[in-house]
Amino acid sequence: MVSPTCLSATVDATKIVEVAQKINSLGFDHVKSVTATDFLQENKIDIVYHISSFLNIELAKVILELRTSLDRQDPKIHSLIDIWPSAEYPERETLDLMGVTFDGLPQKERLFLMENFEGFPLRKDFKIKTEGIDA
Amino acid sequence: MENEGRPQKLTNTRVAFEKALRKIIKRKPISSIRNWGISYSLWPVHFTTACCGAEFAATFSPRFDAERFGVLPFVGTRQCNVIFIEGTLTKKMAEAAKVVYQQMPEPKFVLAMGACAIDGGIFWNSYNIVRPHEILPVDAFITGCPPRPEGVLRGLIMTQEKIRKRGTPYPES
Repeated sequence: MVSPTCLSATVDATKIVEVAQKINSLGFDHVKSVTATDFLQENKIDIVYHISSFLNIELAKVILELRTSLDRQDPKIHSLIDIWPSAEYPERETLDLMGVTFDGLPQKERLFLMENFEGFPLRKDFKIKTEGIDA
Repeated sequence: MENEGRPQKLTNTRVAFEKALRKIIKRKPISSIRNWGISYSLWPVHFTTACCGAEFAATFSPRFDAERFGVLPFVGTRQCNVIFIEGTLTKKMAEAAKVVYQQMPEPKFVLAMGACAIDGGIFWNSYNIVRPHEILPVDAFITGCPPRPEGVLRGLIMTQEKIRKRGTPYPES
């Protein structure tokens, strides 16, 4: 018998909260990671939530990825910390390094970088200042 | 004023005596003894920034025993005179390294450890690293990723030779 361990769901960014509530009611109780990917040519940023379960042993073997894509000029999405509190720090990291705005996050200042840091270093068009000066 | 209430003559004598003493200390026989003493009492502060800290700890383990060279790792910043930059230095940690360096008493020495502390290493050209020689006056660089404890000892011995040959900077006042 083959059981699926990796599931993928791609949703529209406006409906992510409804879908997340539905997934939560199925028994998926925590977010493992929140990742963002920058697609410079296609002018979009993809967000991936990896969701799994602790309490349900059958679902603990499964990792569900919830994908959505955002406009690169103004990446905005509603935060999922009301449904899964473990998403708070990964979402803050994504805000810090990728510049994706999460509505509903309680703290929106820099997490890892200096407070006076300018730009979002994991975006493809981020220019490092020392680049090309020394070898 | 600390000299308030004392006779003016005594204060003048004392100032002159201190001036003379400072001159004598800088001269050859006493200064070489002083440098010899400093070279065998290097106390690195406990300031671990990256994975090189594991090799740094192994240097002071019984097998390599850096204490035979008079090097003793210590926790108090104000009792130490050596700071090891152990591996990569992020921008946030660079601020802390500067504060720790400023708290140490003179004369003080900086050793940069590992490839990351020389030119970034695997984090070369990253958005978040600082090369230690841009913010602190580094006395010796130790190569390796991470350096072996023998390498760390070599760096310490080189620093000791440098202190004995070239002397140490004197505080101004």
